[in-house]
Amino acid sequence: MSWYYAFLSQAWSDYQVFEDLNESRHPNCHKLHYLQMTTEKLAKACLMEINGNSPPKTVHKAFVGFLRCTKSYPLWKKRLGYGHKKQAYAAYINRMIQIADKIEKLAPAISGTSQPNPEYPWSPCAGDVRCPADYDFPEIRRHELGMITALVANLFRALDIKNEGD
Amino acid sequence: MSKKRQRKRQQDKKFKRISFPTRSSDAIKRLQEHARKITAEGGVVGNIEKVLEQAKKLASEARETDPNITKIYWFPHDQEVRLIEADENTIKSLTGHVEPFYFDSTAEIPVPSGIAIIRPDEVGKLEMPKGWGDWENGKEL
Repeated sequence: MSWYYAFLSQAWSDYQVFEDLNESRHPNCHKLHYLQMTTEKLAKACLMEINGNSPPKTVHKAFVGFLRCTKSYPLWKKRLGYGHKKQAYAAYINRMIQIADKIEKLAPAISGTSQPNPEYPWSPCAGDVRCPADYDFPEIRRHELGMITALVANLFRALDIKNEGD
Repeated sequence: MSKKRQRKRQQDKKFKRISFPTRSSDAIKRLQEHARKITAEGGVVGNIEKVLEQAKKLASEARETDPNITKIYWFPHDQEVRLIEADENTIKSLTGHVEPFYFDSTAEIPVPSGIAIIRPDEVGKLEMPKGWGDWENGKEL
């Protein structure tokens, strides 16, 4: 199995868990956790397709980089259904980069111990410790999460990865 | 009685214990179900209004923060806010499905919600999420 295929497979598996969690009544933190992991691995796989099949760096930042990369990569513009609509695609990707940045910062290694993340408790100031399961994550608006959910579903479909029967 | 027959009888007894609950537990279940229905029927109208109130709040907030939204549709449900927001600056669906993100209830919005973003020209065309009904159920907010 190549690095590209391994990352893509793991991203798809994470996405399946995200879909199950998404339809459940579990706290939002668990959905965000799996959404962050899906986007990270999916982006790493897609970057390997562009830059070559070498093992990616062990960092959590990848989603924003991938989206930036697609702006100058016509194949992705075409895959995502924008054809010759260069300006519309750039406007959409710029919007998505803003939201992807918020998703990327959810990784605990990036958020640190003072910023919200969906996995571990954090402390915004001395004496105040917060728990992800009790936190509403207002930093990412509902509309933004709706847009990212649609993008992720479309990225998998663009790579022709789908559930049986779809 | 042969050992084989004894074993089969024991297995049958075990099977009956697992598969067929006693009459009293059946009766309790029926009563609980009946009570749940009465509560639901008595509370449905009030709850729908509460959900609609939250849906309007979410729609208003979305319009304020995202000027690309052209229309917002509410799909009535008595326990969950279900919204589809049509946004000019989003991707055209390659899956053919509406893809919502579902939110647990929060301090600000005390009912669960599902929000999906689609393009305005996809309204009425995409396949709805499971349990949301048809496009005809949608009410523009």
